[in-house]
Amino acid sequence: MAHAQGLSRDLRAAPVPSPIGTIDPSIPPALAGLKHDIRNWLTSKIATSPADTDPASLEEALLTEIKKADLLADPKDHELHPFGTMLGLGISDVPAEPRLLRAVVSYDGLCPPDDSVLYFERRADDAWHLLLNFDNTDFENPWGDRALLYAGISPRDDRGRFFAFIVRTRSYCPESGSVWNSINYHVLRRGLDPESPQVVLSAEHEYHEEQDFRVLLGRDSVTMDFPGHV
Amino acid sequence: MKYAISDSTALQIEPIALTAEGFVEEWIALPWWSASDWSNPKNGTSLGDWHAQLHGKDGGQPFFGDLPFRQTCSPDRKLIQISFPADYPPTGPKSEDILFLVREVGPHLFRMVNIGRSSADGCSKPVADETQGERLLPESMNRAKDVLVRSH
Repeated sequence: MAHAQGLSRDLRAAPVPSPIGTIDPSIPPALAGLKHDIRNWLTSKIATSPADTDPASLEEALLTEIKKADLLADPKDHELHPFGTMLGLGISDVPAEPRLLRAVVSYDGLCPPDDSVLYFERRADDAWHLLLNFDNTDFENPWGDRALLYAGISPRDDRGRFFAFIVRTRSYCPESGSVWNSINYHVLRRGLDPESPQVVLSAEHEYHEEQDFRVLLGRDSVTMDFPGHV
Repeated sequence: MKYAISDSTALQIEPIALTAEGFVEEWIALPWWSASDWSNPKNGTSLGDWHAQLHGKDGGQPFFGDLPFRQTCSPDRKLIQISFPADYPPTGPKSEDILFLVREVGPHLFRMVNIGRSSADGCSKPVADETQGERLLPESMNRAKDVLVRSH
């Protein structure tokens, strides 16, 4: 955690770019390092949670530690969005999959949030293991589709396999009032390394209404239905 | 929008859209290697040329207005001509507008037949299509609020 705190301090000290400016090239690698450290810390913390762990209690306990480590964004600074802190954390069950847990880590930034999705699996050794991690890596511009809109696990197929479906949409950006969003969506299967899932599909589309994104995951299909097809 | 997922590939499958108007928009947005699957092979060269002009141009602009107009061009009403008049307020297609001829081959299944600036023969009077259209999935499958991230 000490390394993460150091990276966080460095990132917070970096100049905040303007929404139409460019991101300092030192920021993406430092942010990737911070995410790596947080991922490892979360993995070690979640590993020893009981099989019937209550997601809300686990989340509360983790958030308390994150806050104590001074890695949580200060809500008083709601108009300032430097890189290097976390906006929040969400831990939840996965419907129909009692041996899976989902964690969403929300990072701050000029155009927040920048969300990471992690799935954990309960294995035979009675520990939770990181199964799949998916970070946003697009920092070409200050703006981008980095906010998580949906993350789900498909029903299992005949061989007991499933895929993850992750959808991101445009993050809030200061000085931007457009109601048009885009989404990017990804079909992922577990890879040899949890940090490098197998990417079966990565695509993008226009999207108009933030409150309506319908999705149905089948054993071998994804159906999306959202307003604003262009 | 629907994908068939296999071990390591994903393939977009029908329905591409629920309405002929939506189909035209999707057809333009798709890469040609995919749009060609939903195109009349007899007009493949011409449709490919049109697609190259329209694809990737921010929803077809500046070619299009926002409000689509629909005409039916066959007795069974399955041959449908779609236009997006660029004038405002839109009153129907003009001679400079692009006309998309689409055949409905089944429920929610469409094929691009032809694109041009001349109307197909025997088409009905243009009617503005302001309907929202039906949806593929019910409201109960709306997942836009599923992701909950707490900070305190």
